[in-house]
Amino acid sequence: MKYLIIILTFISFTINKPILTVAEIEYLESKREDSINISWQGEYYLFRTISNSKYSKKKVVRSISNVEQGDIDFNPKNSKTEILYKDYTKNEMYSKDLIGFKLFTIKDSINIINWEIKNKKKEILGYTCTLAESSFRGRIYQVWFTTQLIAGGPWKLDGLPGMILKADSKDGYCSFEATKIKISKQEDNTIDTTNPYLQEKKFYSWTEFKKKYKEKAIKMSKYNPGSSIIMVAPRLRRERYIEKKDTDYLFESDLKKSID
Amino acid sequence: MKKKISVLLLLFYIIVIKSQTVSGSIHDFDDGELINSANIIIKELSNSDHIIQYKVVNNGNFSIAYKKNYKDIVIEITSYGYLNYKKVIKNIDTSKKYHLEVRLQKDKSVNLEEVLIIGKKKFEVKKDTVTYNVSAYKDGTERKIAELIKKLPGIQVDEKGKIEYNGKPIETVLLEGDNLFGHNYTLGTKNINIDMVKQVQAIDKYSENSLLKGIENDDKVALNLILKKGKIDFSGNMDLGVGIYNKEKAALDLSANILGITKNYKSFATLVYNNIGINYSPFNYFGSRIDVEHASEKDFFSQKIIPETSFSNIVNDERVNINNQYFSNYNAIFKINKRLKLKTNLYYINDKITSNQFFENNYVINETPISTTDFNSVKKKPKQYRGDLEIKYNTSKTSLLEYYFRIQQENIKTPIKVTSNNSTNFESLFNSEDFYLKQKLLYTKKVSAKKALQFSLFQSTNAIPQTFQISPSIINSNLYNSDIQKSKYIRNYIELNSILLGSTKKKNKYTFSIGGFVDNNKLQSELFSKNNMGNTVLENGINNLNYSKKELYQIGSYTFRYNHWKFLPTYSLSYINQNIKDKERKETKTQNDLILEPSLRINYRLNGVSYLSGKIGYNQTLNTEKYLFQNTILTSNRLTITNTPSFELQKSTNYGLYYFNNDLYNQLQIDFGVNFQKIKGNFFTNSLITENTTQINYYFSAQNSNNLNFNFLIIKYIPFMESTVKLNSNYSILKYKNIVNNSELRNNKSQFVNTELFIKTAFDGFINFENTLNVSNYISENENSQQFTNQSLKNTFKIIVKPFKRWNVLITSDYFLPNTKNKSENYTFLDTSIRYRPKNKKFEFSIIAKNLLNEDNLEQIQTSDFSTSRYRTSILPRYYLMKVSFNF
Repeated sequence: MKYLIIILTFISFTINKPILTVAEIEYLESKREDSINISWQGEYYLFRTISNSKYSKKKVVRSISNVEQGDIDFNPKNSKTEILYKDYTKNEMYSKDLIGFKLFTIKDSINIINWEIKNKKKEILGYTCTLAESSFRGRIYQVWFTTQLIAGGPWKLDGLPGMILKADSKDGYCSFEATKIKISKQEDNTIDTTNPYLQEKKFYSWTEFKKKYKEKAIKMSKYNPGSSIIMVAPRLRRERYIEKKDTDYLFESDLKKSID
Repeated sequence: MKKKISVLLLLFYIIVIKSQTVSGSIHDFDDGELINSANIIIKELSNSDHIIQYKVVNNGNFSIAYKKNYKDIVIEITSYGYLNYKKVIKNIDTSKKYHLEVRLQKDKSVNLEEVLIIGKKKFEVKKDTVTYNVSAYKDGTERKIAELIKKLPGIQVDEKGKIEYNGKPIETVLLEGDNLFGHNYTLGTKNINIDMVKQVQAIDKYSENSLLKGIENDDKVALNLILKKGKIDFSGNMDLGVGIYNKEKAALDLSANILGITKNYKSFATLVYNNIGINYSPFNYFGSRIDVEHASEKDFFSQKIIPETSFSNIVNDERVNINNQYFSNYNAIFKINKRLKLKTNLYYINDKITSNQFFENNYVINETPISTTDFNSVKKKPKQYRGDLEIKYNTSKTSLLEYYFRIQQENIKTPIKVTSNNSTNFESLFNSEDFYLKQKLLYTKKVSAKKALQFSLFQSTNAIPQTFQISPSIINSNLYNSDIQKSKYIRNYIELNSILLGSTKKKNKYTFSIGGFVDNNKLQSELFSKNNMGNTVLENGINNLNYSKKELYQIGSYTFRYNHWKFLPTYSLSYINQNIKDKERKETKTQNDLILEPSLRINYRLNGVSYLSGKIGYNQTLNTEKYLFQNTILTSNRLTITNTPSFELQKSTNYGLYYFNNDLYNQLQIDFGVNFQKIKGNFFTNSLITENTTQINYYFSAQNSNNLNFNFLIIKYIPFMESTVKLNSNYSILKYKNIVNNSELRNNKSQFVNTELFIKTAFDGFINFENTLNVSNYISENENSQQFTNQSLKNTFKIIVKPFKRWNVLITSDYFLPNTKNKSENYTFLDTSIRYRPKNKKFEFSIIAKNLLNEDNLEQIQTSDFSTSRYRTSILPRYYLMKVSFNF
């Protein structure tokens, strides 16, 4: 009898394969260094299940680096570097960022952006989207989200009661645009929802990361072994690492000194 | 310090008391568990469109502090896979703490079908419906929805406006789910403004009669127009176009369209006048009358013994159709109550088509050359009044009674001035009237979930009285002033029919029908010559006969599915009785036939987007009523016709093999088809051609004629070129026989090859191009004599420019070479249009210029097995038009 019950529960467990609704959205990310011309474009892929989401790069569409001016855009080839993982049950967001040539894992909260919802609507890919705006780590973003889809968004943009289908930084530096949406039902056991960062040993909070970034930036700016190559750590990439008013990082004045 | 703290505490206390919060927890209704992720949206009750506050809730518990002192709010809680929860809180009490225990119910209607939306080519696939978003396919040059439907992938539209989806002709274009237009769907597509339409849906497995859904064969397709919200109620547009033709005549294009939709009433009315060559109506008086509706009802129409003038045309009709058209139309559906629906369609058309034509025929008959020329100055004036009524009454939940009624009166007056062979001048006047009345009563009873029974009664009357008058007389110009040909053809048709439709457990479908009809045709004609003294009837110039056809038939079909296969065998068994009573010749003839016509169609579904289809069929057709009159009928200054009627059956075997591939996701469409028809027994022509006259006698002979046809179509979007490329190729061989000028029976072969290459760019910038190249080859020959060939070329090049945000410029050039061997004879048409639409979108201004190079005529060349013909026609001269469109 006992065995029968065990077998029956086992069978019912295998027969009742739970089915999850999955949203897969493809985004086109664009970067405009001079705010006007596209310097970089990539196709990104968002995989959102009911409890988490993964955001990663599919392929680079366009990359126009300003080699004449001596700038080289460094994009590490390791595929793991580009997965941005969000765990909605724990409100945790994991991503990687560079300081110099080294990668650090950053752990954020998902709901860190205080959006202001505007009274403007637009249709994107057949979904009615509402405009929301907020500043986030040094840039002001204007995003369009739809309540007809589960909450989420590209990159670190999230925290709205719907899916963000289009986002632009107001200064034109970066933009995200959904190009393909697929909603399907897939069997739970075929989807990999584990956190790819579980095995990492050290996580940095945003404040910790910024502190480390500034330390390194100051060190790198002082490092001048005599060659003509200078490592520049910008204060602001997509996110602001060093505040504008910060006087500890005196790269500009140091550079002037070395040239004069 | 203590004071500061206490002040701060006091402030904090006040703030805490004054600020309102709402807190609570969100649970699953069924198992009570806290819901993992949910969104809370707060809106003001007065403005339910705007979100004022929101919170993303993880782990079920929440607490929201209001940012402002709201009075009346709506709290909406949503979670994916659950039904939305709404709570209205009016007159928020600042002292009260609101706590909500929310239980969300699972949304069972979340459908199991996959939803896939792709940007760039924007469409959505759900079950049997593909929804195209209009905004994604527009390039700004379209005004009416017909221009956009052409661009949707999977949909093909021919020059007449006939629409095909996935290789099948559509039944109709629905308006918000209602069939307002029937077969005359071009009324909707040619007149509904593109701004009113949000989406176009292509529906597979369309069933007009909802009782038959799942029972009748599911291979019908239809389109459905979904209108923009807010466009429902009352909307429309008015276009006022005023311009000038070459400083002579005013060019006018005035139209008004109104769309009125409420819950129980849907209507569309249009009122147009134009003289710039556009045909806004579904009736084609310019070319040959094979519009969609006419083709489906041709079995009930009488013959036009004296054929109406039609203008053959190889370029766009709008260039050659020198018209003056008034057209008004009203269509409405009334839902009187849950069971009763009424539909009415009213039409009025009044047109005047002017054309100056030059015909030159170079015959080589029995090695003798004969040349004829005709200069025709034609003014065709058609007028038609028509009213349709349709009543649908659901007598019970499982039965439907339908009544259809149509009455129409058409008058065509065509005065023609002819100069024949540069020597003789004729003046003729052709009056043709057409009265048609039809009624149909159809009762459908759904006997069980899988079986339905239909009974129908159909009656129609068609009377065509015609008069053709020509002077001077052709028969004998010395004695008479003019010849008059009178004819009257009346057809009365009545049919009774019952059909049993059913579907089996395995979703195989069958139909079984029994019916019978009586078809009565009465033909009277008289050809006489007139002079001051009176009329003289031509010998053998009178026809007076009655032709009746009675048929009893039984038709069955079965659709059988197995894996990827679909078999559709059908058969038709008929017993036909034909009877001619010729009162003039005092002859009577009767014949009875038993006919069996089997056919088989096989479909094999290769994958989700492509299928193979084959068909084989055997038909026995009677064409008796087309060739009834034995005595002479004069139809123009040259042509007289007689027939040798026959009851014989035309036996034809048809074979066809087709491949269809419509891959929307990869933006690829491939169609390939082969068709072979072997015909035994046909009416052939026995012509006697002289410099001044042509006499044709149609007679039946059991000889063979064959048709072979190949068709190839490929449409692909090429990403690196950012363009859509379409290649369409058609090759036909016809083998037929005839007798010309007392020759022996001649064996002829006619070949036709047509290739079209179309490229359209889709650059994101402000300029785009479109080019269509069309090359046609005609080869006609007789086995004993020379070949008559001609190759013509047509190229259309369009530049679409969007210089600024609301501006649209279109430049079109049409290059036509009627004979590629004679490059000096070419025609170039240049058109341009500039459009501006101000921000409020209610107005649109445009300047249109057509035929800028002022070509004044167009020549076409055709070949037959014994002749080469040149046909030159007048065209619309250059005109400039300023147009204002107003949308409301």
